[in-house]
Amino acid sequence: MPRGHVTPVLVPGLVLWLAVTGALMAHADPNSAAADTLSAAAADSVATIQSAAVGGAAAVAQAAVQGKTTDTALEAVPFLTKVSHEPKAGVQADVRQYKYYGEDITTLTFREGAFKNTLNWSWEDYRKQQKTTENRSSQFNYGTGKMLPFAFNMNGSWNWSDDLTTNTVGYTNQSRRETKMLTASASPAKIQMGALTNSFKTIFELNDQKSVNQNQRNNFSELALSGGYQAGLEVADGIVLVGRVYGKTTSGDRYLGDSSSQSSASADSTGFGVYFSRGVGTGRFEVARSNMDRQYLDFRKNSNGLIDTVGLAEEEKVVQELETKDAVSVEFQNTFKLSRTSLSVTLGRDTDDQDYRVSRIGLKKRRQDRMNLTWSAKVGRDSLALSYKYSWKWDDQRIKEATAFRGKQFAKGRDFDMTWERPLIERTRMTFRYHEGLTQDIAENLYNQNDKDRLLTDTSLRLNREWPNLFRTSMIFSYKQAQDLSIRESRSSNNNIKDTYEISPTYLWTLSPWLTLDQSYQIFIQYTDYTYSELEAVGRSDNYNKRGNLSTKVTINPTSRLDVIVQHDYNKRFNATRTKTDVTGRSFYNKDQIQAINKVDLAIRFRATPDVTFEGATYQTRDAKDLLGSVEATTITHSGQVWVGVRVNKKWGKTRPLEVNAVVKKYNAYGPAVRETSADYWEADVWMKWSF
Amino acid sequence: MTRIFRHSAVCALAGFLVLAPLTGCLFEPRTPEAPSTVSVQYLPKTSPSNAWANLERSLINTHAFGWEDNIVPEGNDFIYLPDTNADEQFPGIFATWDRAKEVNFIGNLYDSGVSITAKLRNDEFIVPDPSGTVVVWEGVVYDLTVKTGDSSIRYRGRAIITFRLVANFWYIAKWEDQFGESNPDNEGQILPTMGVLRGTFGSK
Repeated sequence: MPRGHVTPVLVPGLVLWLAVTGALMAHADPNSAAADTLSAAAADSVATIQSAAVGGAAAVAQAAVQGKTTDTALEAVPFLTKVSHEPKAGVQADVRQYKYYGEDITTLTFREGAFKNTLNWSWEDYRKQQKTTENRSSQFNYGTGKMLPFAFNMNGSWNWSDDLTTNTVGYTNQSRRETKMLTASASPAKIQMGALTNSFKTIFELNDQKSVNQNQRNNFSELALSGGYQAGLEVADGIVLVGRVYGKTTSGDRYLGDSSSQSSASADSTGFGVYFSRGVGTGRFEVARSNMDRQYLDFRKNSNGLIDTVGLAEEEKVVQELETKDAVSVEFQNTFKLSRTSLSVTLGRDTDDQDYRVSRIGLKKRRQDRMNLTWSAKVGRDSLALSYKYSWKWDDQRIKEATAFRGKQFAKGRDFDMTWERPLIERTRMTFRYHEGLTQDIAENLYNQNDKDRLLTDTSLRLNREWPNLFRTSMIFSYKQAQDLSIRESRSSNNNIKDTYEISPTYLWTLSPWLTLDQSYQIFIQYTDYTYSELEAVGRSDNYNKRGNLSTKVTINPTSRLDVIVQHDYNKRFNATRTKTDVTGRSFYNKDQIQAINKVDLAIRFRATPDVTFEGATYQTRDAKDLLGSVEATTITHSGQVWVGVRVNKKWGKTRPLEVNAVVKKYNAYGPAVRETSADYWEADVWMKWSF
Repeated sequence: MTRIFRHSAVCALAGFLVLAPLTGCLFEPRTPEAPSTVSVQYLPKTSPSNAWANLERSLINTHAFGWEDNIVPEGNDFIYLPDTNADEQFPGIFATWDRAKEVNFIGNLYDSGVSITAKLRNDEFIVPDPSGTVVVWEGVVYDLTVKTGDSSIRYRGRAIITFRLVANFWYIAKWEDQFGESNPDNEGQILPTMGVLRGTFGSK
């Protein structure tokens, strides 16, 4: 479509939209409708009801008293009260890219409402590949405030981008895109009819895109009109019934590759909810249903929804698709609170059917049931929280032209979590946590071989003790078990159980106000037992891994301007493989590899003035690795990095301030895995902003 | 008196709840079938190259365990950055990509009845020695073909891969697709990256 084609459509479209403002359309996009959730709408409705019931009379009385004063004040305020600009320009650099950017924000503040426009420009040059991108954009929004008898908002955006990327063989692809979007919405004031609170909303949208990528154009120009109506009724004290309908219709033109066609979409959704807050219980029950059908040009896709046009003639690559979707969701949520005990229950079910007329995806069906129970209590010094989650879902597919469904793919999950907190002795607190979760993948009729279970068990005990302002310690004991089990015989040879133990004592000692010592020790042991390791054909050996880590950190603040941090990490680990198990059940392991990593960090920060801070950091690592076994070898590698930088933030003037912000750092790094682009680079973010 | 009773009751309940889980029997996994064939021989994750090779083996055997076991374990950040084309094709999908989404993606891909041939490292790529706890591979070119029924689609991309040493093993912590590489049989045809696979199967 030629670029100017939209304008003739836009004007009658706006007129039509304004004409039907307040009226309801019977179609809606379920995706949009989903965003406009029933619960949010209901909360709005409840608030309105409460406002009308509680504050309505008072507000009317107050308005009557203040009416004259308000009118006089309005006359004294000019229509346009303020115009402001905020131009900003800057440059950024890091190991990945350089970026130059500019921005200008213009704000018009009216007596009622405001208009804000943001212009952006940026140009990026990538350091690790031949790639440049340029982006230009403009966004505005305008709201009438209380000028009209209904709330009116308009948003618009224009985005333009150009991406040039050259691949390894020197082929350059240009991806250029220009999009325009205009949205206008109107919401008349809520109308109270007896006990019924009614609210309306209509939205007009224009979307236009021109895009070229890999010499394929993807253009569209579409208009959409949507509307919604919601009614709320307080049937008893603390009980509100809410009903809602929402609709959307879209039409326009699409160009894809060498093809062009009209596009259209229509959708609707309806919802009903009961919201209650009585005594010790609050909650809701919601039912929502939505339908959608959409016609558009699309690339030919395979049964998995992947674009598959290889070997096809140009005219066969693009198809006129018709997509339909029907969805229903039901949810119940209730929270019961009594004294220091709380019980929360959530139950839900979601179903949807999605069908494609042309794509080989065909028909997809999905269903999900979920439950979430949470209980918490505080008694005396104890605090206990339990939760149980259950989910069960499946999807099924009838591939285009197939006579039967492929079989359901089930996913079942159960999860239990418990946390118990208790002060043991003075200033000493214990936290115990237990978690167990099982997830299961099940393919109906064995249509694939990927049935698997994963069971995670996690137990931890944490003790914290504090001596105020002086000494703080903690001790963590942790045990985890992970069972990874493939169910089918063609996949089960890697089934294994991992048992992990971890002990970690730490302390933080404030030696003086300017000196702290932080030290932690961690020991980590993991056993991996392959379920079928005794079978020769499996070829897997059980293994044992151990790691010890001692970390020491000293923080020095000799003056209020200077921070110095020195840190040393010593990390020793080994990996071993089980060689045999004797008659008493004792296992013997041979070490395969021993590794020791030493790392020293130094970081300094000096605040020279309130606006200027100098900073720098360096680390050096020594990695020694001994490979044992039939071939023994020792490798020692060194790596490190140093950076120095400055941070400046300065503002001049108060009424029309000019602000400069700069963070500049120079990095140098070395090591066996450090490439040229990472060995020497700048990291910077420098910008200047003026407000007037 | 009531308070003492309540306190004792909570202690008893907590004690029961502590002891009950320690038996480890709240949930029971299914009993697997004994292996009939030698399936996938994974390498120990004692080097980044082993972890990367394990992903290739996982793909070739459509075996989700190998993928899940070689990306950073739960509790660690996994980052995926798509190339421009994949990002434009699936707007909004990758902004919140994490380990759970990566696991979901690979499960959905393998469960969809595909067979895969893969070579995740080009011959020209020089593997750097690991040192310390983080290693970055810049410019590794991967190449895979995904077959579904009568459909066969090739994905070839250049990526920057960050490996991280967690506990005793190396894992893939960050995958940044730079761009789709040309089809070796037709240099003018730019092939999609795995970002397209992630976008398609990660959003199901």
